[in-house]
Amino acid sequence: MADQSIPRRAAVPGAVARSLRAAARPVVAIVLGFVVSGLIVLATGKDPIEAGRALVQGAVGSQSAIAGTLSLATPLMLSALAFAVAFRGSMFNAGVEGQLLIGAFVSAVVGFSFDLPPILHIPLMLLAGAVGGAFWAFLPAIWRVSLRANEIVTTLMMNFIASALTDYFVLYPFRAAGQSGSAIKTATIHESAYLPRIWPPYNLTIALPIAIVCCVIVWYAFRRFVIGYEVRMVGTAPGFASSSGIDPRRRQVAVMLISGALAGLAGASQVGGVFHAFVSPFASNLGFNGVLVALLVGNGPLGIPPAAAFIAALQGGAITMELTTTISRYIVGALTATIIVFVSARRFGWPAAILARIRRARAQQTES
Amino acid sequence: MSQYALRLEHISKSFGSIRANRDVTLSVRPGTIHGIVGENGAGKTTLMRIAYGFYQPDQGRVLVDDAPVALTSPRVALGLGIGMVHQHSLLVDSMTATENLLLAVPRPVLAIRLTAQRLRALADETGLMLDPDERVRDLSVANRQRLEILKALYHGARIVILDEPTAVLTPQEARALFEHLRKFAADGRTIVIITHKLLEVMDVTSQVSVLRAGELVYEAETAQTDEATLARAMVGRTVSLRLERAAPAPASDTPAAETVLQIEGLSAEDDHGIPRVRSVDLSVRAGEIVAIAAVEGNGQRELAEAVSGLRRPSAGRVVLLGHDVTRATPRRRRELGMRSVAEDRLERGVNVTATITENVIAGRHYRPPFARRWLLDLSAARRYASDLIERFAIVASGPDARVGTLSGGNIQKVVVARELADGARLVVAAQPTQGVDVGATEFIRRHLATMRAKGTAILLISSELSEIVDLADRVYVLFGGEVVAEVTGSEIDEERLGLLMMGGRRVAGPLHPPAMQSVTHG
Repeated sequence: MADQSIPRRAAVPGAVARSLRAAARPVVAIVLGFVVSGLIVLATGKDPIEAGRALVQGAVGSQSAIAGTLSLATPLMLSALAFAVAFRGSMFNAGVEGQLLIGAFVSAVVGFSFDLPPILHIPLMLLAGAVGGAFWAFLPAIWRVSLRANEIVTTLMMNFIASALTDYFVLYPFRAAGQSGSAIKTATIHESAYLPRIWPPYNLTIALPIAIVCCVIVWYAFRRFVIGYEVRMVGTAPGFASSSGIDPRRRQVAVMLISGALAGLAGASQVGGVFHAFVSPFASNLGFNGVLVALLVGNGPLGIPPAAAFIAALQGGAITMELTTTISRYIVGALTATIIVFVSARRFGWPAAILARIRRARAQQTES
Repeated sequence: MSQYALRLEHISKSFGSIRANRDVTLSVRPGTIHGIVGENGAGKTTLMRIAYGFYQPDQGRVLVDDAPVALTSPRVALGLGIGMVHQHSLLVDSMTATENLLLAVPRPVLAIRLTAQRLRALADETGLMLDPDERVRDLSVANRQRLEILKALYHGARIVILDEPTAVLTPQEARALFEHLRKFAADGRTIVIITHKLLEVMDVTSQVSVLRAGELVYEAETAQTDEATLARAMVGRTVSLRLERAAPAPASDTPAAETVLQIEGLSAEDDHGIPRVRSVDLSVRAGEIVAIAAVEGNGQRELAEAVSGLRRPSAGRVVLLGHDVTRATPRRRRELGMRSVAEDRLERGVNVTATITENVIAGRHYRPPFARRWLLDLSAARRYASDLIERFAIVASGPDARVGTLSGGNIQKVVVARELADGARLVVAAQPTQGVDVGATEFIRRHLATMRAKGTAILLISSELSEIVDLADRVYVLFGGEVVAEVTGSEIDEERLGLLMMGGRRVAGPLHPPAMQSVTHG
């Protein structure tokens, strides 16, 4: 297995340098984002240091805070991975949210309809969620390759359909008895389908390791699986791929199926681990925030778990910050957005360019 | 009246180390149709881009109506009455004819109705009938060209330059265009027409200038010259890489040599639905290099794509080693032993963002030794890539070097290595040495010759005549998408091919383009 030929060993430092360079971009963006948000807080006459302290306290200041952050991060990892997988295969899946809803709903139905031993019920429920999400992604994928319908538009529209459809189901055919009020749910799933907790008493379930393992598998698959190689070639050079006998359309459908399945799994993990029913409205914005996480790390699967934990920490911390200080939690929205703006800058050379210009100017001054 | 409507004096223009024009002096008299002919890369387009202000010459000057002018931009040139009609229309598809006209010269207020009226009046006056309110995407190719011409005239062009105007037209449309051009000239306008097609030159021009390798090599009144003279002037005594021509492989001499590729009645359309390949029949046997000689845009690209499975033919059959592969996927064709060197190297030939290893395993990556079930064997792939780097003398830091970091010649070597390293039964090589440095060119040609000797069937598509003469055992000449001649053995020479490629008639007996003619050993 271990190949000791020279080229392989020579490749390792290159790979390390590449991943370091890949990590540098989000780190610089985060630092710049904090600086800009700090200035905004300062402009409103509040203390940015205090804000930061409260944010950190709320995110990782206690065991309960850490567990909360990780619990929040779990579905984010899966939805970010869903977006990233599609993106690497040249498909822009703007419908992670809808696929997640369908996955969540289908898994809830499986959760309350059957009464099986946990060892069967949990996998079945997660699988059902994945299949539901994959189905919801399959439709736009097939429209794309057969009708050339732009998948950004169709996946986005499918979100609204998914939302309205699950609302309808939960309001009429599947509404649990004796409920009123704004939050409407289906029947509660059987306890045999509850995801086991890994850090009692906190509500952190096996969904977290599952999500991390998914990221690792996808990372490995892109490097080592035949399909991963093919998807990368389709994503980076479609003309080359088709000339080499790799049909881009088939890989695009495959990639959307995987993407939808991961989104559906995110929904199922929320049902099995958090709500224990399908709730309307369902915890929203997981799809959108997943895109942010994926963007933050340039769609690299291994970067997704830390990035998801970071975004989740900000969101968890924001609530504490608002409770303990007079600073609005919406500043965290501004912070996230600023970071994304910085990380999207294609040319991160400009700080270096500014430094170089200053250095040149100094050199000229000393000469003259 | 001025002596010359347009005069280019001692024009030189270089791009890096390439000298596109060298001391070219060209004089165009008013009220004439002036033809400019030359091979691909002879400098025709560069010269005309200087004439309409797109490029500035390194040396020399431009005179309009005998007065020196500084053509600093196409708009300045248009102000002086010089308009250009490009080979590929530069119109905005989603806009109407009138809106496209307004686009050329932005004004604060868009007088759409007035412009439409004027356009209609101009169309009536010139006979170039066109509905001003029609959207460009609904116009036929010929009408788009009419709109381009009307656009030039509308903006006051008295000198109209047309770059290969008939490349996209049917013969009937071309005839209609020439009628209009004659009328414009009779009205005192001046027409400059760039073309490869000698028939057209003889038909429509009154003067002709021939460019070769950036220099003006021949000028004449059209009435006092003929196609053979023009062809000789165009091709000249070309300096090229000559391969020591081995004795033809014995396999190809015996009629028993296996037919590897058989194409029957193949027709294909381009991306715009324009028929480009018309009912082509051809065959390639084992141990034979068969070349397709054609001027760019005569269907060779579509033919190559249809054979390699990247374009669905509109009619006909492609048979590979007895299997009908007309509708087979590229993967199936590869499995049967077809390999192809794509013309569009950076788009189709390689993935510039991927490593050499990832590039060379493409197409065989899913089978042993590079894959075990669904897992890639990266170390086998890397060993294979290292081996190819050595065998094909690819200059690279190693198998993990990204292909985008290599030089053009080495990129093409990666393509050649991938496609030709293993047991190919048929190679479709489209422009395998175009834009490749001398050393790599020689290497690639030698490799093709070696493969022939080993019994591989090779279909070579090249616009480089010297390459065809050096390598090919048999040549099909494609003109307007049809095979107009088949030339074998000692009959293959540049002048004859050049003339046939341009639809010429006067070599090798009466040859009428639509009819197929066979030129064989005497």
